Amino acid sequence: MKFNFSRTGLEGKEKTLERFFEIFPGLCSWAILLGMFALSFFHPFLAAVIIIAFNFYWLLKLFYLTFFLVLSYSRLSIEQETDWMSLVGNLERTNDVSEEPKFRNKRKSFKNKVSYWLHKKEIEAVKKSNLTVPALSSIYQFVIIPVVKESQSIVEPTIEGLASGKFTPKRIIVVITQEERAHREVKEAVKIIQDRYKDYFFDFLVMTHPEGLANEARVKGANVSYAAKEMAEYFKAKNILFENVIVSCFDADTIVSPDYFACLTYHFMLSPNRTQASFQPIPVYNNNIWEASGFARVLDVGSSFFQLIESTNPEKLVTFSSHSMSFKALVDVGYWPTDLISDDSAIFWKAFIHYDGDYRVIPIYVTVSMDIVEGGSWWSTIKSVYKQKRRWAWGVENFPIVMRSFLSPDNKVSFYNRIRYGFKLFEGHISWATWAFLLIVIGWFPAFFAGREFSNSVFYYSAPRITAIIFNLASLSLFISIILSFCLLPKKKVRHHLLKKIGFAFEWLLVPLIATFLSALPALDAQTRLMFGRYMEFWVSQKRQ
Amino acid sequence: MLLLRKILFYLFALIYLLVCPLIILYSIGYFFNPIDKTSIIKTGLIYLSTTPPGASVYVGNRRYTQKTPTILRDFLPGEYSLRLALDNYKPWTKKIYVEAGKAAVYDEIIFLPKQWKQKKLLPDKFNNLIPIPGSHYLLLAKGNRVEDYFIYSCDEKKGWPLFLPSSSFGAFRVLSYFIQPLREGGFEFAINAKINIFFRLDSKEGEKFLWVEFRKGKVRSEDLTELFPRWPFDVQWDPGESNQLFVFKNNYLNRLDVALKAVYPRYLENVRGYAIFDKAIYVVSEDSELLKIDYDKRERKVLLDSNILSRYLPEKKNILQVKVFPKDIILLLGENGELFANYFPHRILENQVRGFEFSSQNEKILIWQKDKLAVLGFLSPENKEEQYIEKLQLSSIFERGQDIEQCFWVSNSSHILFGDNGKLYLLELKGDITQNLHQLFEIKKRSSFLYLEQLGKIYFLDNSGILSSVELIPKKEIK
Repeated sequence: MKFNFSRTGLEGKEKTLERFFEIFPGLCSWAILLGMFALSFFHPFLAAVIIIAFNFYWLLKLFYLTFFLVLSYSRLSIEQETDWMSLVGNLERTNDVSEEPKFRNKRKSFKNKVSYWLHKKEIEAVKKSNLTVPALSSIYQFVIIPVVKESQSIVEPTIEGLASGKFTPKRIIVVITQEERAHREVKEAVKIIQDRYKDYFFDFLVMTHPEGLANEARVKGANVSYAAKEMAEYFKAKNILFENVIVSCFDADTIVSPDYFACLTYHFMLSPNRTQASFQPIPVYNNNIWEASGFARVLDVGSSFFQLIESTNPEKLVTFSSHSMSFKALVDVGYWPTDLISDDSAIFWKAFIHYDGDYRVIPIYVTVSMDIVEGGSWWSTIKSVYKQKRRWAWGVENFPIVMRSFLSPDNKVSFYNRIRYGFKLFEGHISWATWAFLLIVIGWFPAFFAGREFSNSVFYYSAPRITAIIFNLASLSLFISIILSFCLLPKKKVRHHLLKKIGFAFEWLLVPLIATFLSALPALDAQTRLMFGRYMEFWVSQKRQ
Repeated sequence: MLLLRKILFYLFALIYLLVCPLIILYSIGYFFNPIDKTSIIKTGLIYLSTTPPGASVYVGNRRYTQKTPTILRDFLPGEYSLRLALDNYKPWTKKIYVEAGKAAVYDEIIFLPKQWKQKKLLPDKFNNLIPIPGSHYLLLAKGNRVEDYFIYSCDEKKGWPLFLPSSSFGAFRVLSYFIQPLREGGFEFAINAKINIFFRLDSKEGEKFLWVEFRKGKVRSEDLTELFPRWPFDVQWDPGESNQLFVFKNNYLNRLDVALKAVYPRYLENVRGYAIFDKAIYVVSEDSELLKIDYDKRERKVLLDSNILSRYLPEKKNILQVKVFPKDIILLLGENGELFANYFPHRILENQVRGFEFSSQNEKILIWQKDKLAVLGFLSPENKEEQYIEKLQLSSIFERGQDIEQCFWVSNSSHILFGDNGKLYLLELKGDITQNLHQLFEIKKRSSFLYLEQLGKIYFLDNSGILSSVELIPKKEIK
């Protein structure tokens, strides 16, 4: 479907529809919160019943998600043992799986056996489907790194990570695309890095995105799209087929796992419809995890958990943050949006709509590590974290555009999928903005406002007890989260004091406060801004210096 | 993975649909009928909270493992015999009725000790104890001379003579005195409170009028005799502005500035009764008009006009005591103990009202007569037409007294402590309904006592006149 994935330049009915769907999420969130508040005041009994029903629903969902979190982490843990280049080799050798892939530790541990079993099934399926697997020698990895004001100390480790992976860097083309408005020091640093690392890669290019181009906002998507368009000409000039190029758009602080490109290549080669797919790794925030503030650490580990859980449901997976996709798909859909902040998720929706729903995200169980937001002082960090989460929540800007496309008569996505995807997008944002408030704040209002009639009822005394039981059961999930958060921590050469590690565990007790004020509140803020048409400018997160 | 997700999704959905209604029904009070297991019945619960906590609970013949405070669930509707027992305290028993879906709440149960531990506070013997309302101080009198008066701080547990032996006023005989209730404040306020007492003394030179100020152990006195040609009916002042006295004589008010030693004669005239409250003068005029006037007489507001009040008030020559309470309730007390209010039905009691005590917890006024106790409060409007008419309702709660002289609200207004004919009693209340009556112990006859809610203690003179205290509510249990 040909569809202009943008909110600008709309007229008439489209504009009305766009505004309606911009207002709708925020309106629903506020209606839920204020409605429950009002119900607590006017009819505390009914409000308390609803809250108990909601709390129980939340508990079951928490158990459900925790189960898949554990499964997903197990898969991640298993895949850390996998020699991806060996699997790539297996794929290349006309899918011969009689030869067992190699494993790093040379022993057949349980993880190795599971990994072998999983991938053997995948390779056998490819063999049966007679899928043509591209040769490794024909595949290029194209990495775009946008830079605005990131210093050398942030960007250089990213490049170093690209150069030191299992996948040969000689098949990697690196492009650092800097904004014209970037400071001289930033440009000089980029030049230094280019000089230092250019010989490692197939090519290492630096591009400058000009200011003030037409139809562009000051967003990252405009910068990277500019670079991608330039590179399209580059590939044509070098007779490199777009179908053989995998583009990865990373943030300036993204340090990929050494297995990243090997794993990516494997999944690219394995996918039957590889030019209509994105590849989503597991984002972790390990670059400065030991030094970051506790509440920021908990939040970002929570984000990693969310992605781990989402990866168990590839049917509804949407791209997030640093990820990869087929360059052909990128060109077909018209590159990243140049006027939207949430380019990471928007590109998925753009592709999904373009290919009439025949586009998917393939989870790859390998990590990309980024920085946790730091602001210098404690208060500055809170502000920075809040702004970052609000920017993430600004992904709600996709909702009206997606819904307009779904309502378009030209849309060929099945009605069932439109309902499914539309509801998931809507429900995801609403629950993000409201659940923490309902659980932590509004849940106590019925008891607070209870009149004499209600305060003399059995329910008035039972409800707090039931709520306490529910929250106590939920702490089981919290306990599992704490354990997994330790498992996700990087293995540092420097040993940290035991007390520091214990402190990390106790930080999770702050989850109610963090979830309310640094997750739900920014989400509600973002939806409210969209509701009132106060569109956000891109704000670059403060990272380590 | 997809299949697993689907299976788990439907499983959890099924669990939710089955279990959630059960949880809600259980929380409302529905439970399996113990007699007929196949049917569901709506039960009630009992909530118990005692002071002190930790009492054993018996319902009928069954002892529960829980101790107070506790919630006992799943009671079939009906009557139960409840008994609470705590070591060294008298057991508490009650027949309670549990209704379906309702909680029988007993959250202010006070255990009374088997043996009261009286603590002697001062070695001297006294004739009389005079509480200073709104403060944590007592005035104690050994005799009728100025030098016989002492002031005691319940917080600091110390006493001071109100006058030094060397004072020139020491030998004067006290004829009468005025004490203005302080506004209630927190603990800090209590310690730093400034106490003012106005004395009328008899000396060789004739009557003297002495203004005494006590604060943090220091006494300061001022002879105001020259400002008072004759003994007034009443003297009042605002505790926050104690330099301004209002003196009621015949049918007019004089205003005195103690600091400047200035008199503003006949500051207000045609006065039948007055009160000073929150830096305003509330006046009942001889025309039976209830007015609120600021100190400077710039603002004058008619609270109740004469058309209404004159129908209820007695003959005009009858002087009225005016008491102003929060929630804008104003009570007028006649010379014969008749009680009137500024809200309908205006005429509250015909005679013998001896005193009243306001409760900020339930916003009601406790009123006592010689043999009766009653509670006065606003009536909830029963129908829409009446919602704009504020009405007071008087509920009688006790009618078997003999000579009730003093009353106090206790434990968030759940009990009433009163002195009757030299004995102290504790009356339990549930709403405005009387529950149990307990006799506590005897005190010196004809002397007052003081109960301080913030300290949970009763201060009194025992039969020999020694200032003593007992703890009614342990300090750590005070909410």
